[in-house]
Amino acid sequence: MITEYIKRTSLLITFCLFLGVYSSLFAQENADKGVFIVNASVPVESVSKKDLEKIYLGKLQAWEGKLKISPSIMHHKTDIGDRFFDDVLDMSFRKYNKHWLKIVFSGSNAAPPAFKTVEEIIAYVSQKDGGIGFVPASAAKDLESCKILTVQGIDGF
Amino acid sequence: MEKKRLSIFFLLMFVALCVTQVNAQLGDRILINGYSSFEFERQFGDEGEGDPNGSFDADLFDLVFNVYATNNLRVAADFSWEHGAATEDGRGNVVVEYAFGEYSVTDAFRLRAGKMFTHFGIYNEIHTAKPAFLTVKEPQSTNKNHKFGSDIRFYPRWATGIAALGNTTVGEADLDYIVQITNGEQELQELTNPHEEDDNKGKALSGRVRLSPNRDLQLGVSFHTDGFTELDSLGAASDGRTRLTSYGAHAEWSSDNVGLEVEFVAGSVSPSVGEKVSRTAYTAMVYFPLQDTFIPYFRYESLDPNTNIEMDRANLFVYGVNVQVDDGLFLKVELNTVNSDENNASFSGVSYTELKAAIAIGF
Repeated sequence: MITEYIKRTSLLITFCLFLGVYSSLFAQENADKGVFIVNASVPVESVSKKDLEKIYLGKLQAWEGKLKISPSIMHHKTDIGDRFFDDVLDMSFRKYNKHWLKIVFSGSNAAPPAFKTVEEIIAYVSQKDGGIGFVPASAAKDLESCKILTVQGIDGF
Repeated sequence: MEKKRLSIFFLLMFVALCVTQVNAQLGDRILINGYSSFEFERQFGDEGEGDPNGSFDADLFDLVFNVYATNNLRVAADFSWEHGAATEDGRGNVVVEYAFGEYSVTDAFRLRAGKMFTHFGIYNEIHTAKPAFLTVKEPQSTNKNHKFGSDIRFYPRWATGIAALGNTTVGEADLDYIVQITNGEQELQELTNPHEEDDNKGKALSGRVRLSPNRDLQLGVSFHTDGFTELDSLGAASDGRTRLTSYGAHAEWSSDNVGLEVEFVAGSVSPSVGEKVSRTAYTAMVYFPLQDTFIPYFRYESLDPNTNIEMDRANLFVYGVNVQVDDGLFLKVELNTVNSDENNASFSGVSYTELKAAIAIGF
């Protein structure tokens, strides 16, 4: 009887531990997914994936045709930067870089600045009217001068 | 004494804060990029218009500035030092490739004023930016046709004036356009500095429209028209004008494993008295990206400098490879084979091959 009780209790504890570890792992995974943040001045709450691509390729330069869009990226050698090129833009960093070399050197536009730390990109987006960038979801909580931008078709990356 | 120390401390703190804020603002509003190209050319054999000595060329070093004066006003400039510029020795060239202000009214309508590239076809606006294209040089037949058998270019490299430009969408396709009204160039003779003063009342008009149905394909059409002042028998400016008209079409397509570029340019030079000269040129390039690093390419170029003259055509075959060694660092090696007809003004029927190599850096 006691042995059975110990057995059941052990099973229950193991199950709870498993649940706890699994949910914390799952939560961590969600928290580390990339999300897009924009400066509080940005007049939209969501964009399509296609428009997001246009923003990062310099083909869409103003929010609702007026406020200048100031895109920024995390450096491609960071995890989230690497995922951005693979999962969101679906192009290699080198192809992206060549695309912008033509635009910048022809005098058409300035390339999005690349940051190496989350703090730097948050500071940029916070201070820049029309700014947009991406950070891990865990870093996007409780930001005062930024808001999270919903991208239709992308549930984190 | 204590009060003095405190005052100095607060003064230093104030200066430090000011400097930090100014730096942040500078970093926020001013972006600096640049590029350079170092080249080597050697012609095989002594006959031809290439370099039989085999020479290194400190081709250029450029700094590109983008200054956001306000959210809607951008000032862009490209300052270039070419061929080891040394003014004391009269060597090389220092040039403002472009310097203009651009005001965004909306995404679809921006206004620009200053010195700019003529936005025609694929290459003119990036012809100095060697990291931005695969080959060592931009196509000669469509971009440097005055060195390929024509008397004057299809369009000038640079232009000073005003422009309207913008981006929009047409259905699912992206569209961008630019229209430039400028002083034009003075290809026949230089009576004034065309970036300061026009030598006649007529203005040059240029434009280009590009359509991208998807990310891999771009189609474009361009035009340029201008009137050059003609001189009378005493060498003074007359009322006569030589009319330059050029138009072109281009297409760029790329996939993961193969890319294509084709460009066609045609037009005419019509003096007020005398024969009109019509000319046509085209280029076609195919390339094969291997892991975005190693890109072999082949380009064919052809120019007919005067469609009324037989046997004056020039052709160029370019076989090469572009290797991206690191982000922004490119190594290019290629063979250029020129062949020409006997009536071609630049080559007079001579054919030759040249080795060209370059290290191009973009930052």
